[in-house]
Amino acid sequence: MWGDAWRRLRKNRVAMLCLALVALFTLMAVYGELVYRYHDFKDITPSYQKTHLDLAFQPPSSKHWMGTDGLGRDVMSRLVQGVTIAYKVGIITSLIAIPIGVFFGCIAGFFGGKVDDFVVWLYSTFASMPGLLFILAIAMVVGKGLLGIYLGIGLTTWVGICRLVRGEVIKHKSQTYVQAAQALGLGSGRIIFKHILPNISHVIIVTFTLRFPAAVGTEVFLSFLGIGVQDQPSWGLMINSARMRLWQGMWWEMTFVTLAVFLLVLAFNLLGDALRDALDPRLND
Amino acid sequence: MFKYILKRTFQMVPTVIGVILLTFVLFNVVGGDLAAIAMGKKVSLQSLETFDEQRGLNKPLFFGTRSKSRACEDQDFSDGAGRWRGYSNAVYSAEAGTLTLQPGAEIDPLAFELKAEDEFVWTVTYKGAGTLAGQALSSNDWKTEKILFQGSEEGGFSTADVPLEIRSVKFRRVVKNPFDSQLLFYVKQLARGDMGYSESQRQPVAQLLKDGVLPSLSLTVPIFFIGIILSVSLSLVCAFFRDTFVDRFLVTFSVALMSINYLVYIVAGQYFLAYKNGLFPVWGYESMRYLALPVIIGVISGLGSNIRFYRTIMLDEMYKDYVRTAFAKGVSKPRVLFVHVLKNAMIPIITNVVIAIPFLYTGSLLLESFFGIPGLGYLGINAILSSDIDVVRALVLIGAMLFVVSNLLTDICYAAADPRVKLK
Amino acid sequence: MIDSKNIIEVKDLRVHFGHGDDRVRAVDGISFSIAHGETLALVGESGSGKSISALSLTKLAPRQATYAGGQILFNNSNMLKLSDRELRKIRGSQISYIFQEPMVSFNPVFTIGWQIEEALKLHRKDLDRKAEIGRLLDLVHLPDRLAAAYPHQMSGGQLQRCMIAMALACSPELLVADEPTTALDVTVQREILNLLKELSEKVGLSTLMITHNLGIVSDLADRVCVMRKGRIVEEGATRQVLDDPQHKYTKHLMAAVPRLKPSAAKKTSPEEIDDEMKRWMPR
Repeated sequence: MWGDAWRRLRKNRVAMLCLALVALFTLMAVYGELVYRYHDFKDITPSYQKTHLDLAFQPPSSKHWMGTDGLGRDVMSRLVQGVTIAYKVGIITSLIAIPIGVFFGCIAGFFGGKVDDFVVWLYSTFASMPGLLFILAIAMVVGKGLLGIYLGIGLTTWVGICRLVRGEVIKHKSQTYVQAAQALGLGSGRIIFKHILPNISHVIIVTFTLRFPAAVGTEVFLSFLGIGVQDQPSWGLMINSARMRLWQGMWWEMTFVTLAVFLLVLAFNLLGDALRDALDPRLND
Repeated sequence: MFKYILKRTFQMVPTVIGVILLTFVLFNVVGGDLAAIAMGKKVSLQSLETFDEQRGLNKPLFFGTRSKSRACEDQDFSDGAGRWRGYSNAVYSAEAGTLTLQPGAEIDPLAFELKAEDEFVWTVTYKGAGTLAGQALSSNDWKTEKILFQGSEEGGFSTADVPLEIRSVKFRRVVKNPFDSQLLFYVKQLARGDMGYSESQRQPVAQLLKDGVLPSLSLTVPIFFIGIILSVSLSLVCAFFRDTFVDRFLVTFSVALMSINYLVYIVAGQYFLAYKNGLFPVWGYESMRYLALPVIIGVISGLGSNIRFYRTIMLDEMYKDYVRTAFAKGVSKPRVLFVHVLKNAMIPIITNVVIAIPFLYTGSLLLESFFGIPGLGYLGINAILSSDIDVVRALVLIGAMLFVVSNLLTDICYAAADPRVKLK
Repeated sequence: MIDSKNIIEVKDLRVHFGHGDDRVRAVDGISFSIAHGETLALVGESGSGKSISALSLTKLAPRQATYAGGQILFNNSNMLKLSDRELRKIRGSQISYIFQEPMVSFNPVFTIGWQIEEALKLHRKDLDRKAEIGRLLDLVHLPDRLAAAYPHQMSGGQLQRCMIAMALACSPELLVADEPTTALDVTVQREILNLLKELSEKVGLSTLMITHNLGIVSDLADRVCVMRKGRIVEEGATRQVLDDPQHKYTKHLMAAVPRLKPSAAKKTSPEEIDDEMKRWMPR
């Protein structure tokens, strides 16, 4: 399945371009994290946090490719830090949401009956909550900062994954290989995690690719509203500060940050679509 | 049909209970000290207690006969002395983990006057002799004792000529009815239709909600209808011209629309269209003109994903066998699309549309706060920024309840639109 | 020009899927003709291209298909050259179809009556349509109250009768039946076949019958074309082909028909099984 999918994906030029873009962003995220860790370890203020009021509001130049912001900090290096934050949010919220969703989806689909009823009740309760407001409420209760964001997004987005996985498991449960495994007397846990899960892993991967940009987008919102990231250069905070500057004619910070958000989200969206097409040939006509 | 509606309404009950429980768990259990979140840490314990009292937060969570009181926090002296350090005639020893009340001391650790009709209980681990809440303590060995007293009585420690060593103290209010819990209080409050009181706006939440509905609806209703009409017609265009340039362009266009962050639409729209070109007012809520730009932005931001969603539905239908039958009868392509396919596609489309109804009520958080429209979204953002718990909880709860009701509506529409759904 | 005794002539029809090296030649140069009042059976295993050939007669093949060559002559015009509007006039009125799966071939959200009426509305305007629907349902031995029923309320056999009624609604000259009984229960299959036989005698229809079931062929067809991998490998009168198959593949098809007395079937030698295996293994 994976070999075929890869061949199909390779033929899709847009998808390969997106893959390259995602790889580039990933490198930037790793680089940003390393820079952050280095300064944290040495306990010095990194250059992207130092203020140089004499260098404030410089348009893009050879020294500062993307100009400087209102406190004279280099926009580009702050942008790279923003990639790190975005990746952290995308990955950590996935680490919260996907295991919960997959676990509940698997047991509900496989065992049916009371277990299914319970899981369906649980996710329909969560699904009833008004999206952004609920995330905001969780973030408010947990407290401002990244933890609130992780929990807020993570605890609300498992529902979709759960529903999807549950449907897939129900589909697979009636297939012969599962019935054969049951006839052989394998334990339920083994059947679910060793036999069914690998067969629906593509669903999980596609979901990951498609929920990543959504999580990044939500983080930008929350940080923008001042509920998310507090003292690190997050894209939301950058947009917030750039918004006011825009009215004074400082276009660069706004432009580059929104461009970065757009490219990251677009690349993941298109890649997710292409992955789904490549992994799920039924949809290809 | 009536029976079906009744049955579906009945099936809603577990979800409603779930929603109430979930908001309760989020705010009362996970939230911890709501009073501190709402009022900050710099207010008097008395006012925190009043806050708790008003919201039933001074009761046990689910069930219990004892509840904490802010009048005195628990203290285990092996961990430190906390507030007790301040008493001049008490000596704290960190090594021994004890607090020693000197002979002749009078210490009242209760931060404010207790309510006279309530009953309280001290649990104290001590050695030596003295009195607590008027009752004598005397032991040569470490001993833990519970001391019950009425709120009207004196509740403090005193010693005569021997010192009293204390290892730990706990202070609890006695709950007469063990079921009189925060959960019960919350449910009762909801049953009364009481949404609580906004600390930051000094108004009952119900009033704020009432005031916010109209501005919210005036923004969201146009977005809702224009959005549906535009996205359904564009997706029909996609389906009609599938795999041609038009279709591919629209699909690419919608992915691009989806990938642009909501904030960007708002900021760019406000800057370019309103500020630079003066086509629209920048901020405010005075006339229809003020709504035009937020409505445009709202429509555009939802357009991408909706076109894609509806297009997928239409194309799924286009592959069904009945489409081939229709073509074989000699039905023209537009008729197949607009009559045969559309009527089938309406079923999932209705679902998607009805489910968006709660959004009409809760309003658009960002649009309202950016354009200064005094609706529920604006209220919500401000409540979150000022940690106004009651407002946030009410908005979350109402949003969720509306969602549940919309689900019911969806099923009813579904039953009306699809002859295959059995009304039993 | 078309031979006056024939209603339709297919000459060297080629239908391809995809382009370049990846293309699949689903129909690879087939020719056949159907005379007035004749029933021709197109026989072959699934994937042999027989359904695509049938759909191609009015250019109904899935949109990925390209008509790479050949002619389909019907009423002195080449169907492959006609405009969409002209084709629509022929579809349903002069050439109509019966499809394999009645359960999914009807639109689930319209009543049967509505769907039959649609065909009438398109091709026969001057008509008391309600009475006509009743007459058509009666023709296929169904009570006319079923006109108000939705597809999900009916059985497969009933639906296939409705499908036949709908196909006959505009008195077509040619009826294309694409595996009309495959999806039905065995007992219902017999009823539908009898109905088709009765109707073709009563109405004097020309029929193109697509099937893989040789039983149906011997029962209904006047002539047979055997298709394999997009080509016609054998053609002839039904009795002649069934009694004395010439092509190896036809013999295989014959051997594959289950009999009540297995001993009567010809034993296959091991060499032939090997040969068979090679044939079916993917290249």
